[in-house]
Amino acid sequence: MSDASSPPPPATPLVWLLRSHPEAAEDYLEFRWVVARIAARLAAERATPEDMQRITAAFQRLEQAHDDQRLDEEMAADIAFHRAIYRATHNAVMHHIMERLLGLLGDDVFYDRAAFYRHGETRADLMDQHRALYQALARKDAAGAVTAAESHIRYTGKALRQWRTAQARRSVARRRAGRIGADEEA
Amino acid sequence: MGYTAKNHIRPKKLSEAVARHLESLILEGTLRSGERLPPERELALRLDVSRPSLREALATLEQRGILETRRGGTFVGPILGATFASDLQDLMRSSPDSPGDYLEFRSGMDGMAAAFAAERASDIDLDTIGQRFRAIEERHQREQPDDEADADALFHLAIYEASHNVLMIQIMGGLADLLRQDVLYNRFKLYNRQGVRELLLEQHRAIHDAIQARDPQAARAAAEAHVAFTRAALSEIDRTDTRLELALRRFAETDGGP
Repeated sequence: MSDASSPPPPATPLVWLLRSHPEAAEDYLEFRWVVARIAARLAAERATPEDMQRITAAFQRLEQAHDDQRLDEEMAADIAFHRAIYRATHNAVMHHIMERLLGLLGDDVFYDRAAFYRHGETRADLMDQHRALYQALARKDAAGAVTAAESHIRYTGKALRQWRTAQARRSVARRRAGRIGADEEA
Repeated sequence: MGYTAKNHIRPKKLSEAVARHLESLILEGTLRSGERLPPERELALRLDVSRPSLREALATLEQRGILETRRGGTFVGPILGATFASDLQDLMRSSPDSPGDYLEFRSGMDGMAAAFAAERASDIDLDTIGQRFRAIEERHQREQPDDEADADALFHLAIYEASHNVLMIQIMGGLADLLRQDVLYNRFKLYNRQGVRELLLEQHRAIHDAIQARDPQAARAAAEAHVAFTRAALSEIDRTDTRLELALRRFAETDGGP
């Protein structure tokens, strides 16, 4: 990537550090895995009717965008859904910290989220996971919410590793394609 | 054109490589927020680079808000953002149970950090955790509650570091720093309470022993129990403090009035 196409430095130094060190992606997902379990349990136990309204609105927005195949809207709704859950934990400290980290998520820090979503199967899987999490929260099923949140983050990690492998293979293929072009010109 | 190596092999500018190296040191917690960097000449020698390259790298990191220059020295900036601490402080003031929130969050995080540490700690990490625990013990025996509270925070920091997760180190470590500055709650209130110090020492011992034995489940259980105890003890202290305050006020109104 050329310097000109690099994104401008974001406000929080940690975001910059993580952005320029993709090896931290695994740590980021592991950290989120730990936090998501706590958040899912607390939200299932504590969500007020207003919280649940907010979560439901975000989920319906996600579903609608998914059905309409509007990628940008689906990604934005995904983040809004998770934010509504963190808010429903009624833990001010966790909410404060995760608001800063969710900024990272929306930032495309570690992977090309759009590429994730463009992959039809992945998109459908993510929708199913969000639905499972939503339904567990709606029936105030803490154990179910924890399981759903946990497998959602784990899936993201797996998809990230697959995406990276695919990217690496793609650049090999691009180099080979370039060689063939050179052969023909020669 | 297909095997053009230009972008893959040619090393980046030296100053950029130095900047990345310093960034890694900060991310992994070798260099910490607020820490002063060694003088330029010494740092150039240690990193084995020329002073102009180093100076350029430092300028880049300063532009990114990762380093800051003040009082003639170069310091690691606040990695979680300039307003992280003050925002949290405001939160603590405005929300009645924010110490409870902090400890609730920590309970889950510390449990997993201790489990990761039990799985991942290198021999060097185990040494550090051992040393930090012995420092708590020593201060405990010397009846120095203030120093003991400080050693307590450093012990927990060593566990976050041994989890080898950079976010755990940066975020939970950042919170532990705030704890040392008593932003989150007054630790001395806890340490000066009769009987509480002894229990805290035993809890730290249980966490220490489980990590040294490389038993993730026991480490997690011990860390969770420790945070749960701290939370219960703090809220009990707050309750009795409130009761005492009320009693004093009543006393002032009835007997001590003008």
